[in-house]
Amino acid sequence: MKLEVLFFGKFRDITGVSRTEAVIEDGSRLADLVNYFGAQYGKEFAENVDGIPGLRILVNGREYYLLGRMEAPLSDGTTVVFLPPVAGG
Amino acid sequence: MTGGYQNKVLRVDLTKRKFTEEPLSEALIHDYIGGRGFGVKLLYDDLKPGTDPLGEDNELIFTAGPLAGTNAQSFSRYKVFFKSPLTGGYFKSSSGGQFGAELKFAGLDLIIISGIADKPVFLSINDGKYELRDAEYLWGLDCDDTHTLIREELSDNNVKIACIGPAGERGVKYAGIFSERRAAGRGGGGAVMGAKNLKAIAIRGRGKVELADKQAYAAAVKEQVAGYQANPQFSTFSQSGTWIAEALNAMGMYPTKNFREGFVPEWEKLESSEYLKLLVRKTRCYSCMVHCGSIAKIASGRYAGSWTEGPEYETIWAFSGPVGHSDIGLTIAADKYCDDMGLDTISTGSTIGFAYELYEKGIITKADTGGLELTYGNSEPVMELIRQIAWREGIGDLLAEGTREAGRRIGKGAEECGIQVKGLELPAYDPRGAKSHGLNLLTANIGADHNTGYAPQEVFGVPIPREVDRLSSEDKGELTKWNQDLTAFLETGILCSFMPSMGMLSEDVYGRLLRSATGVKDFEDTAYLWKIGEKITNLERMFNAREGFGRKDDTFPRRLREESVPEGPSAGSVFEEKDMLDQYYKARGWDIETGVPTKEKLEELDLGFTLK
Repeated sequence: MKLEVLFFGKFRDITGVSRTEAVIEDGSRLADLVNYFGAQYGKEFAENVDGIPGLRILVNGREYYLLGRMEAPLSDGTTVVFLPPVAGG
Repeated sequence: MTGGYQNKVLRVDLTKRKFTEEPLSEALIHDYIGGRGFGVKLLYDDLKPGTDPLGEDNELIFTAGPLAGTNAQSFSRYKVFFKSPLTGGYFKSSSGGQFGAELKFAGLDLIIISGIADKPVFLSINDGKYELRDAEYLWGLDCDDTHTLIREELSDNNVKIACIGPAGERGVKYAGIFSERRAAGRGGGGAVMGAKNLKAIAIRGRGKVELADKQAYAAAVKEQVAGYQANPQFSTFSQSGTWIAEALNAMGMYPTKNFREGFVPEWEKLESSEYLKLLVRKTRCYSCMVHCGSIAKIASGRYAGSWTEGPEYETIWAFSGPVGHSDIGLTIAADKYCDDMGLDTISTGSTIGFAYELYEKGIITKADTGGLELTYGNSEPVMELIRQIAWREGIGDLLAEGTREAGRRIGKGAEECGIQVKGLELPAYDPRGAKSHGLNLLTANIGADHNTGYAPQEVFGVPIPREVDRLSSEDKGELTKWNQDLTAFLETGILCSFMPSMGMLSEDVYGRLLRSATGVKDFEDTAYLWKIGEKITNLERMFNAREGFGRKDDTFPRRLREESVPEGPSAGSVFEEKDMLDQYYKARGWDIETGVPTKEKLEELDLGFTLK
């Protein structure tokens, strides 16, 4: 399946891109996507997923913690956003 | 001993040119704490129902909280209270900067202004000396120049000023009050000031704020500072402030083309990383280590040479989403222009987006706009529209009334295009993408104000008090009440609303700061604080009920209730207004039919006097 992925903040620094496509196996979960990027961009990617307090990961606009956290299911056409915490407004 | 307060209220009658000093009553302190508590109680007591917002009897109540002017962090904002010419109801507006602390240094807790001066004046306050000085030569000047000339006249560069621009003088219904590029922007306080012929207030004080228990206060401040530093969002917020347009676009709830789409084309151009490239230096309010403010400058393109303090998120949105165009230079230039003219950026941008929709539908034409082509994606007319609104020229004279009144006057379906609640234009969040945030916009007593009960759970994913699904309408009544009552009691001390939205300050530390500063034991009891928060919200509602407000006024335009977000991460969502209002009134213990507090609720909150 093909996913659209948006990176912000530290993740943009690590990957060097703001937006990319990821092609991963059908039935994959969010943890698989993180591993996919880990293989592509190095262990710093996964370390930041674990290490940024308050990190938001949006799966089709919903917080990943509502969808089973790293077990959140993914499907073809899903948009995933890696967004370090923001505030204000 | 009692500390924190200066125990002095200054009443200014502009008609009679009379100044009166009064002590703060102990009952007012205990029962309302300060800030928003003082404001709503005094406005409720002083104003008769039916008071003309632009008449002699309306008041402008300026206040700083009991901790303002001390070394507690983020507490030196000020608030202004008045009956709004935009909504016809109770209004509160607030601003950061230095003015709030100076009010305290001048020995005051409150300034209550009534009457109308016979000619333009400014109020000078200098350590207990009060004067109304001629302001005819200032009339027509923008806010920046007004600051400069008053400082020159008083030969004092340290005087702190709150003033209006041309928009306030001309009664633009959403003109704000401006202090060193910070704004008490919303609701038309600038128009009230203009109607009173009051161009500015200039304050200089050399006093200090006494504390009841210095040792306990120092410990509480230390704990507050440590809490800030330990918060994961502190460093990001310090660096980027409210430059968060990417988050709202990524969630598909960035209102675009007058709330008909959920993200603006090329929104990547408005990301925080783009604004950081334009950052000149950071700014901060009195005694705030966050320094979230920024000076940003644009050096190329159509708006080259423009700079501003900000723009804050709301303003970034106001000059991009409503016109369907992402131009970072415009957001900077339009922000500064609104600050100079004395306009609320949210209502200005929203009203411009409203005009664009009317133009698209042929309800207004080039003949009405003086030849301006208000087509989405073309942001070129925005600066000219701001000018016309501020000076009430051309179509600006009509748009200066706000979207509700302008829609009524234009007719032909224009009424449906004003995206407002109670007359106050919605800010930069589509309620269909964040249901508790939306329910707050719907029920806030001043109209569609995000800061009355911001839902960080939905907008920022902050799981306090619990994790929530932003798109679900379930269990949002209680959550909205929680956010609103928390905000209400934190605004008695006039804490910056950004801090609770990030979980940077606990209720417990807040209570200890209040108790140690003031010496009032109950302020340390968080149950008491929650009761005061609920009491404030209920008294505000009773002010409005006295003016005829009720459930009929807690309503969104049809678009948000019946049309879904067309595409993006919030696609398919509508706002389930009836169900959510029922939930909310039930959570509040209010009458579900009328949306007004019950007798039992009022008596429980010691608000029985409102039943008379």
